[in-house]
Amino acid sequence: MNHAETPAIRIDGMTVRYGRRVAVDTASLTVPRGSVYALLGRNGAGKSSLVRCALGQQRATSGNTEVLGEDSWKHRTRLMERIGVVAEDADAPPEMRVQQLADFCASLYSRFDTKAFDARLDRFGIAKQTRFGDLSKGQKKQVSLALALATTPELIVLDDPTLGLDVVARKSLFDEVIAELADRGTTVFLTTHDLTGVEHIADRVAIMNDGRIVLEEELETLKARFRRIRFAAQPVALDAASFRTALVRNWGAGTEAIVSNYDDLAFERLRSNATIQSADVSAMSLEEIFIAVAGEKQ
Amino acid sequence: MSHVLAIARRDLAERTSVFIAAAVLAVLPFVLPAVPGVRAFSYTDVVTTVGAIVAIGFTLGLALVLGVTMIGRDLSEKRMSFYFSKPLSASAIWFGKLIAAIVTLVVCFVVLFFPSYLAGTTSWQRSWNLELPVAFAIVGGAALVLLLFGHVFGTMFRSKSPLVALDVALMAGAALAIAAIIRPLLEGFAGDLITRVAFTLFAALMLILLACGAWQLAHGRADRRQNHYALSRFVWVSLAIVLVVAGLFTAWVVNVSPSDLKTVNVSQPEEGSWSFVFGQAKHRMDYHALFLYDLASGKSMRLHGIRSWFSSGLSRDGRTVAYLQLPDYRAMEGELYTVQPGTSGESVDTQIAVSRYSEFVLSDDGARLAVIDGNGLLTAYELASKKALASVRVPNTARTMRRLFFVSPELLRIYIQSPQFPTMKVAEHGVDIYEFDVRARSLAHTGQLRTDAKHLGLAVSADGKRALMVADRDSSATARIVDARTGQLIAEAPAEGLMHTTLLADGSIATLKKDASMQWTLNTGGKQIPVGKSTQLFFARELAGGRLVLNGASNLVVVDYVHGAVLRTDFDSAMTSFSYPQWYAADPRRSVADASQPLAVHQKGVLYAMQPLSGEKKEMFRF
Repeated sequence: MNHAETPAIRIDGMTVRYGRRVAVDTASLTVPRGSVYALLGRNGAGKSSLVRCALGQQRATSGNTEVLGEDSWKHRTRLMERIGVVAEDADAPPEMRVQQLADFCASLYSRFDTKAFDARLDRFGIAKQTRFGDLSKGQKKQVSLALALATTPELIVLDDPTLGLDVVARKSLFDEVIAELADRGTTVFLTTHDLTGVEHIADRVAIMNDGRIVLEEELETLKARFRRIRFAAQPVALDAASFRTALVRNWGAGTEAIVSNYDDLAFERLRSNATIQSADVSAMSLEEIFIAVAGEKQ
Repeated sequence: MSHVLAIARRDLAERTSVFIAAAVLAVLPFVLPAVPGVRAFSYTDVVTTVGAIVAIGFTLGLALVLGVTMIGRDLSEKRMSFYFSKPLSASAIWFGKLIAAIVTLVVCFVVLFFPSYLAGTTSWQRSWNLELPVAFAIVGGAALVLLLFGHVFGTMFRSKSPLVALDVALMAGAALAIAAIIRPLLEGFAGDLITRVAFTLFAALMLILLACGAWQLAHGRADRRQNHYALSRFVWVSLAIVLVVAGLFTAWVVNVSPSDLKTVNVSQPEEGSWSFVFGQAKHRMDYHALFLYDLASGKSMRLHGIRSWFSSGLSRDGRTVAYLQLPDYRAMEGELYTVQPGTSGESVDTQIAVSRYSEFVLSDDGARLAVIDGNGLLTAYELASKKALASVRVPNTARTMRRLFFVSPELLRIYIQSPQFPTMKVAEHGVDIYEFDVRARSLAHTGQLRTDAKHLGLAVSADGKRALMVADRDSSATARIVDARTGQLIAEAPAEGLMHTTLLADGSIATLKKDASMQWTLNTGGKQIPVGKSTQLFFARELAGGRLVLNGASNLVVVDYVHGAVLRTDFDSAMTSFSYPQWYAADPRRSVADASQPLAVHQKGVLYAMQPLSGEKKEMFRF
């Protein structure tokens, strides 16, 4: 497998246990190079544990993890030269000024782009002499992102980057990521439950629930196969058309079903064969798909 | 290395407030003398004393705080991922932070200490009585210990993991293991070796603690509990290896036989063939070992007691040995043990606790034991039942030499001899004689002796009836034969020094005298027996049948004093006996050895059992 074919991240059967609690349960996923990969999950789903293990910050109980073709536990130090990370909680020392942070990072990365960092800070409107601890939550994330992007990484990992941010800060952060993608085609791996924000930039998603990866595919494919079908009457025998239902529930006097393998021809066959008075098919947003897959089970 | 320095610089940049605090505190010693109540003291004394106290206190306190926080705080506040999301190795993070902490401590100490020190260098030297480099080494060493222990305890306790309970248990186990490693060396008087072992253990521990941070971060990384687990695993496994090696070393050190000794001293009683062999072991620095050694068979028994000639003894029948076992060589008090040499019996703890400066003797049959301590408290014990039979306080025992023996199982005679040590000038010496009736629990003052001397020697005949008191004045000596119970004078005659005068079995005196040409003559019972030329010669022991063994630096002579004949001479044989008149043994009685008993002699690093009459030698072991 040559360099281009090597996935940016390949996780195979990762399990993370904290005592008796299983945080990540035999998770496997592959992040292709140049993709924007969103790992979705509710709080406590195991996303951050998976990210920390993927970055070699924590040892998984079992499983293999390769990042940019190398074992991320064994070769973390070397790999971090090529990876930009924005942690879930801004983890820079609060006493350090933004300029000191930049200087510190510049001394560690051979490719640290000071001009790009300064330009981003200007765009965010953050003064370099401000102590990191005095920044707002959104500003901390912006500084962390500016530092991560200034290292000109091949892969950027964003762990719930919009958590606790207002709409403006969220947009500003995603704009920077989009610009980075446009400029350099950097691979982006992010975990989030901000589905509206990520829907516009992600091209591949995985959904994590109770430590398990319950779904992983191209976003367009995912959106194409998930449909909400509302029937005026109930019950409806959806399995007659070989539809897999992610969710079936009452909807007024009728039935609402979310199917995960929607097909126009199959639906037409169902409508023609069954005595269905009225059925309304609608596309679903990523958030709706996520709620159907991960939300209702909670 | 650049990453190490980057981390160190980062941590140091955070500590500006600490440096400012140190600078502010450095002013305190100069302000304090202005405070009412302090003005009465010398300005420079106050400045230097307070300056040193503040500098040391601040530095040590800061060392502990830095130790607890330098890794532990980042872990507990979940900020370690900041470092691990960058191309920084665990070693760079640890050593960078460690260097920053050490630099912080050094800078703070210098800022706090030097202004006050420079204000009164003479006063400082007078107050602290320490060379500056020594003082720095002590403070620096203490600070490093606090820093590293602070880090370990900080990581353990901040993890809030139940593993802490195991750590505490292992700490206790390690302390017990160290005690188990050191204690046998303490019993072997190995002060230098203990210092070396203790220093090595300490250095190994410091190396473990220096390395543990890097290991901890390499294996625990950003996770608090995994850090604790990695740290504990590294510390305890490394320490276990060190302790096992140290334990094996101690086991090797203590596993000595008489042939492992490089210096040998033999204390040989007249009865039986068992002797005490004591010496320093080969390749073990100053480790010493004590054995009971059978000159007839070469069998030996290891005793964990202290030196034979002042704290152990054989009963007159040669069957029972009592010896003092101290918990360590510096201990002032220990317990008496008894053992029957030549039997399969183990040493028996009599549970009699005695001071190392107490005197004790066994009854002739070994069934009873009497102990007199420095305060004159005399107690007789029955060994079989481990019971104290009777006690009494013997008066006027301060700064005296206490000597005693069982006249019979129910009667003890005590000689309180003063002063305790030879004097520089000729002065009056006295011996008070007491008898203690064990059954009646009554003490009687039966007599006393007075004489002028520099050295006073007192010996009692084997039957306990006559005593010889030699007043040695260096230039002249006088010998008195007295009643051993009352001190009443029987005869008085000029004598030689203590090593050249002895009391014979028949109650008469023998002296050795040399002329200007180094020719020695034995004088006894009116006979003058020439024994040959030697630079040195003294009485070694008396054999049954009226024979005397004389010994010098390299000469051995056996004389039949009854018939006035020299039976054997081994001049210039480099053969030396270990026997000599024990003027200061707890039991003052002289005894006569069976002529068939082998005599312990050494020649060119070999211990021999020699038949004194035939000169036949049997090699026992080399040392």
